[in-house]
Amino acid sequence: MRKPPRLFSTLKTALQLRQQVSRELRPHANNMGSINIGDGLGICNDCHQPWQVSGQDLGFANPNQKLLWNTGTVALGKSMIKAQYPVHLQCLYLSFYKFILPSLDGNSDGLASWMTLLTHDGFSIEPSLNFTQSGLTIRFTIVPETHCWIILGSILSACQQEARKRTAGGTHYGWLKYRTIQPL
Amino acid sequence: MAGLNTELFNLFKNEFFIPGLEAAEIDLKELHLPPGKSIPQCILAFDLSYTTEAVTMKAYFFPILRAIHLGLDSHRVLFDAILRVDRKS
Repeated sequence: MRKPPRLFSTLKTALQLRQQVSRELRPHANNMGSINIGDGLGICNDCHQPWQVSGQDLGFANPNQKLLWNTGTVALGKSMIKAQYPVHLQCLYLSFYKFILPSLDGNSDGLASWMTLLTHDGFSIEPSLNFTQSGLTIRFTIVPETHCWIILGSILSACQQEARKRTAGGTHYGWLKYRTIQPL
Repeated sequence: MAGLNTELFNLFKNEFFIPGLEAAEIDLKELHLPPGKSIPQCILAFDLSYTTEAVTMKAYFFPILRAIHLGLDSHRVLFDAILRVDRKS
């Protein structure tokens, strides 16, 4: 069981984590603040992190999805390790991340078409940490493509169909249990 | 997963979303954003639980494009939408 962090130690952990993550990411970041995938973060000979290993054989539909995987999962994966997520949950959430990728690439075939105002460098995924009394929660925010209401609808119905399929098939994946959408 | 309830999401989606081409035009002509940049109409946030296999999904709407599209104040659009959704649900 994880101990509930106190405020001071929580802040200290947050600062350490931020320093460490930025230190680890910096060598790979270009002057736009985004991450180059050719620097050994994506496909590499000495893979040792879950997202690097699984990134090799996921069979992405297009280069955009591969780019989104190789850039987005670094912070997500590292944060989950730092926040002491159990390995099976790390794998589950990484596969969930793969699951939502189609809502981000739309019909586009270039970086510029999904530049958003969510992040300073236009990246459409923003991982974040939430400090609560019971511990650290990893979150991430996405900006679906401009035509998101079409794609989003298909993603949501795909999620529901997947849930029904898994429930009907009697499998025990413990697949992601969505809670209700909370409007502002 | 079984608890995914999109009812409220769909109601607000119908209130706030405008077609992509019109949104792109507003981004460019009204808001003078650089080409390729856009104001999102909706973003989704996922909280990844570390105790159970669960994702809490939150939807954030940005009614500003709808407000510009209708030529109305964004507060007006927002409160009208809430009142209409309240009547429907």
